[in-house]
Amino acid sequence: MSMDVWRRRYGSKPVSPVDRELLSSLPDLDPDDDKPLAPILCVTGDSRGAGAFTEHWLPRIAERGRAGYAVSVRGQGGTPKADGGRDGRVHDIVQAAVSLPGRAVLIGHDKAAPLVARALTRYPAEAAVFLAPKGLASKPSDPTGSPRVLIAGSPDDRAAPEKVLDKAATAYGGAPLLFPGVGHDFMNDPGWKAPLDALLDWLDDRGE
Amino acid sequence: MPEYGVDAAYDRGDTVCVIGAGMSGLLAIKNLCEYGFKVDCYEKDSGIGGSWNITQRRSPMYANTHLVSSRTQTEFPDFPMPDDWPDYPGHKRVLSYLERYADHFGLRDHIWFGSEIERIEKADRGRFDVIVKPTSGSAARRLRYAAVVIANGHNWNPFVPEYPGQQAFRGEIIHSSSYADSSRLRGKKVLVVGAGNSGCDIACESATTADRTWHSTRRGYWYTPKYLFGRPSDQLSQRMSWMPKGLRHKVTEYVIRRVGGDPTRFGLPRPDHHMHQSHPIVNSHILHHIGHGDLEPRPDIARFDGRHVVFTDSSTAEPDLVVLATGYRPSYDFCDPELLGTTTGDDGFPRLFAQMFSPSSETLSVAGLIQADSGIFPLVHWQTVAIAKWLRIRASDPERAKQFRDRVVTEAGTRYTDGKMNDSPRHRLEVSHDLYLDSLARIIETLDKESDGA
Repeated sequence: MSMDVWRRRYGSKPVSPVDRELLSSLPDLDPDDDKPLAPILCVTGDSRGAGAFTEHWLPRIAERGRAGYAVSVRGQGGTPKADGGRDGRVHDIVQAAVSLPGRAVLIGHDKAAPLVARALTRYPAEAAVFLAPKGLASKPSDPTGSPRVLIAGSPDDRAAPEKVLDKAATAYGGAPLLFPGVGHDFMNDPGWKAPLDALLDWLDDRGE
Repeated sequence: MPEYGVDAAYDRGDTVCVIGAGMSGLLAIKNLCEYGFKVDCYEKDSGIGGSWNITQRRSPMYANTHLVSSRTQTEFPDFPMPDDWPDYPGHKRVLSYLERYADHFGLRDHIWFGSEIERIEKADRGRFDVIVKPTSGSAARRLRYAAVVIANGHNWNPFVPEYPGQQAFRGEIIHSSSYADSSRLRGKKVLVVGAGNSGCDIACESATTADRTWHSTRRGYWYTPKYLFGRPSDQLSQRMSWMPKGLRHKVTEYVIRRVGGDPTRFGLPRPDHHMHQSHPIVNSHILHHIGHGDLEPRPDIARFDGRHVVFTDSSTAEPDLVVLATGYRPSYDFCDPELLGTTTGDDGFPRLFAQMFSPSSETLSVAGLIQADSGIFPLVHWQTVAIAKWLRIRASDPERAKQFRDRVVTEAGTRYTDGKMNDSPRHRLEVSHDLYLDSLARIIETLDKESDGA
């Protein structure tokens, strides 16, 4: 983490606390198993907030052996509005992440991608995925703790076109992972399963 | 000398040894791991938390201990405390925070509990032999490490002053380290000595519990209330950090005078120093209890006289119990003083570069040996980041590391305080947090440049 980023926050008025909506699906864990896999925290820019992940994503993440969580930032889904603007929404993501049982993987969809990018400068995530990102043209500051970062989207998604994905991927060093045939709503489009499984494979790859 | 099998050191390769699993040790483990090091941490007790683990014998805390810096000014920079916690969490919450930090980052896998450090010794190529003795009584073992980070804390070795006539005093004298809760004070006449945060807390508890309470302090202090205008006072002062230093000090003193009032009205001496020249006392209740007649301020103790205590102004008190809240001294009986730059006459206080790097060994550092005018958790976080970055550069390119090393030796013993800080022993570890953070930022920037060029 850059010390500047922290010192600015340290010297400014803290944002107000808010009663956050945090939804989850937990895997059936074998107590004899070794270390549990890193939990996953999902955030979307969609106004449904955490609710956008409950039907397919969280249960599937749990089926794949990881604790799946989704948070609604202030003013979204079941979380009331509160002060702080963008900093407040980033604060909500960081607060949700540190409340999880282990170092978390952060997934930011749509307009939540730039929020997750900022959360990464404040919390050493295990890994991060920017999914069909909107408004993530550059890197706000280096992520702390050097997490693996993946940018993913669909060539058929007009809300987050390939050009935008390329730009974000360049900022984080790498090439975007493309899933043809899926729309912008990766969580609830009919083709939701294949991209999610591919992301989980990417995470499993290093045992994260 | 006990036998360790001297020629049988178990070589742990590039692993770094961390001594202690309190707040500083946990930060060291987490940040060293984040920079790619393998870490073995040895903890004497059976759990983490150090001072904050009140169940441990050597914890300096009492039942009513709360943070004196507010939550947002105390939490680790990359692991905030829950935002639904109160402004000043108590020791139980702080311990649960440390437990969660340890679990979240999987730190327990690196900690060997019930393991005391008997000795650390220099080995070849900057490496260290560490002699670990299980508290269970089994045989000590010698292990060899690439580096050592000492994080054994400095609030467990009580400092007990000697006053004339003390031995013959007929009342009871205890150090605040053995004070657990106010039940000990009930029905007694109590003298509390010392105006540190413990001294003030215990004096306030005594004011509401004991039959009569005197509070002896050596000089006039600034009593900073925990709240100013309904906000934690440290948050407010941090938000003034854009102001020039002189102006900020003037504004702070003005506000405290206006809000807290004139201490001389309460029979206290006028502070003989500016606020930033002494460790701040954050306490909202001292003046309140004095104003209610439940706490009687007294100057320094001159001598004990049978049942009496005589103060420097010749006034006397007749306490049943004297609580010496006279602080602690660092203790490093497991290593040669020379390794920490300690010379005789320093009261055992190390002289380190930036209060963390050993001036005589490249691979020995101390985390958490500071007191500050702020919460020290974030300061120690940045200390351990700097230590991890330094060890990484040294491992990858010893030649380039030399340049940085020269600064370590020449600047050992630099103090990070504003001008004329009181030179009493209790201020030997004191840093002004803004100055110290500036210095840590310079060190980290230098190290980042070194590693970019490598």
